[in-house]
Amino acid sequence: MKKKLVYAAAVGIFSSIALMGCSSSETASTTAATAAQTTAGGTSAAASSEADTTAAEDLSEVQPASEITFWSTKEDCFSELCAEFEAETGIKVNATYMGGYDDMVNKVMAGIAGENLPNVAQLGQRHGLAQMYDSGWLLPVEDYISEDILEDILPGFWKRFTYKDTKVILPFQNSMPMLYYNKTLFDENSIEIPTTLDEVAATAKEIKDKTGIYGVTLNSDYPWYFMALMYNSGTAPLVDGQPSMNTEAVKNICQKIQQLAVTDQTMPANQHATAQEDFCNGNIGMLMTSCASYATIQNLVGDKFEVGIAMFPEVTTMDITMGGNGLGMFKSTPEEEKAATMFIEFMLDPQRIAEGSLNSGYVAVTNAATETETYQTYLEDPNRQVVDEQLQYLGSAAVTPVDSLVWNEVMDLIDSLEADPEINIDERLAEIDTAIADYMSEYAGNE
Amino acid sequence: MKKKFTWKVLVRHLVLIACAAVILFPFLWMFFASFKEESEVFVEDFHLLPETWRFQNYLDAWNAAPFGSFYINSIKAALISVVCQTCFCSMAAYAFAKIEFAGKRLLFSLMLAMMILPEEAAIIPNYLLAQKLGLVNTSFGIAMTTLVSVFNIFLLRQTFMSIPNDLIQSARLDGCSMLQVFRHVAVPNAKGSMATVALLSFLTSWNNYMWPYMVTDQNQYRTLQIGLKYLIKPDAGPQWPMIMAASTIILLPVMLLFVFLQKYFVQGMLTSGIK
Repeated sequence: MKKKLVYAAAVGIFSSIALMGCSSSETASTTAATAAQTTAGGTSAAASSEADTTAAEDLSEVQPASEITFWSTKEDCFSELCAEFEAETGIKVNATYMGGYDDMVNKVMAGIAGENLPNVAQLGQRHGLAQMYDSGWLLPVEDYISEDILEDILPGFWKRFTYKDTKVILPFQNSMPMLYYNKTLFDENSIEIPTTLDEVAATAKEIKDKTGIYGVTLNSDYPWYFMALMYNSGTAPLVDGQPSMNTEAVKNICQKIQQLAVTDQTMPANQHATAQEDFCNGNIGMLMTSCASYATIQNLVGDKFEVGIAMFPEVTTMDITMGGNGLGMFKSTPEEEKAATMFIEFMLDPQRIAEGSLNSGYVAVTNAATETETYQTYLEDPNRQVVDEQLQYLGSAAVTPVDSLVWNEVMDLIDSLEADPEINIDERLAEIDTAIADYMSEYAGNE
Repeated sequence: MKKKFTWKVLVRHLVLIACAAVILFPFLWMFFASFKEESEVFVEDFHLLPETWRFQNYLDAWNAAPFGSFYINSIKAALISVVCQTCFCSMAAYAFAKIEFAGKRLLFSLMLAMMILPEEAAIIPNYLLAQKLGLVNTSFGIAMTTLVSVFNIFLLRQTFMSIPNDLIQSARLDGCSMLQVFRHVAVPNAKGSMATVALLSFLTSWNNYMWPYMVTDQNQYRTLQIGLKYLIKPDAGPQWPMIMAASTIILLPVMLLFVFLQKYFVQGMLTSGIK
């Protein structure tokens, strides 16, 4: 049955990603979901043994393997750190860049089907974790990583990496959605920094009225910000295991998106692919994007204007969702699992985490990292202080098998909201709930 | 003889120039953006030409990933695809066009029905097959899914159907075997379409991203399209001038190929009756 889950998820995810280019077409996500469900019900080809999910063995007496494989989403695959690890332990890390988070999910899904997986992989929080864990190939990190590290991780980070009450992957390079703003423009025009979604809409209009430029936009991974607004409205795609997209809270966000893109025209409709560049060129006053983009944004903006970062807007509450990636371990030999454990623990060293934060924009995931001098240097920047302050609101976006489906449905929904003023929001949200319910029922049947 | 000027000709030419401009614009934008500063790519006061020409983008793009080996791998995979497609598609197409055998229509319909199947649905079975055959991280593995194309079989079948049966029967009467008729009569009469198939198969293989990505997990075996991914940071977004520079480098052989084979391409499409 686990094989079926993998095939279902893989085909669904492949189709979804391939169809993302279809932008506003409603068939895109529907077809993807259907593909996943159909395959779940019908595919049983390509037999191979399933990974068993027996408890982790005691690796304390095991000699680590001399080489491990590591699939990374960072272009240089942390080559310096890998070399440092090899010098320290004698274990060679064969690292390969696997592209973005979606590419990584594809690759891992194919790897599960073909039983050809790395020892360690950087896995995005976006989707696929449930399927990977249910396949039996993704090892729960809580059984391998030392208690000291597990306990040192800030609790908010675990929520997005815990599935079926098990810590499945280790938080590593994590981020949060933030509201970036053109500080120079705000100061020159005496504009107040918004703190709620309603205020964002009002401020966007004020920017347009005063300066003529667009007020706000969402970055290219726009479903993430929509879902962040959902969590800040106290709701989620699944509440108590039931689809809950068709609610007043979600409808309110849809209406707000329509107001920005269509009614007020303070957000360029369906132009999210170049949102970051548009903001950095001073064409848009505010941008919802990840704190991990801070270094890039500063670089792109240069001396054109001063960049400010504000907390992600509240709707009815502050329940901030997490972004970025974690380190996952896959089933292999005890020797390789031991070496993989050592590698992950090496990467989670407080100083390395703090340096990573300083050089990128990711937040520090351990208490020990926040106590380093490097992290104190990181906090000298007032914008980073805001990011640090927002950490207290890191919330409860749980891992579910429908993460991929929801991501694509929300993307499709936003495309439609911005393109079609006549869209029947209730109907669309009900359709998404039906798709989620169908998928969950199919998935539960296969488990 | 000099053509007489008429308003009709002028309007026709203006429309054609406008259409050509629409088609050419993205390529020109890509080319000029490849020389721009990152901050100059998306600016409010749009200008096509860069303010300062930054040739360094090409060097940066080339050094951002092992594009040299990506280039060689793409060429290898494309050549395997071209050779296999022209060979296998033409033989299959000839059989469907000129040889009578039981179940021909059903087989042809089934083959056409395969066009409906999305490529993504076959990725896992294909991957398992590649793994069992030991083709993961090989050029043949990368080319594996582009060895035959239903569309190209259909295109060549249409061309072969236009060859008169009398010509084939004459060759048979002169003592040619079936393979000799195919080699000496059918193929020379379908040169244009064969060139079209070669070009299309080259393009398909050259532009292929998902399958080469799935079937390779080491840098030294990867292709150019995967290389573009190295210029997009998951949390920081794309580096546009470098992406445009890399895209220009990648597009160059395709454009050259199209320029040289354009005549055959158009001819092939016309003789196959597909427009």
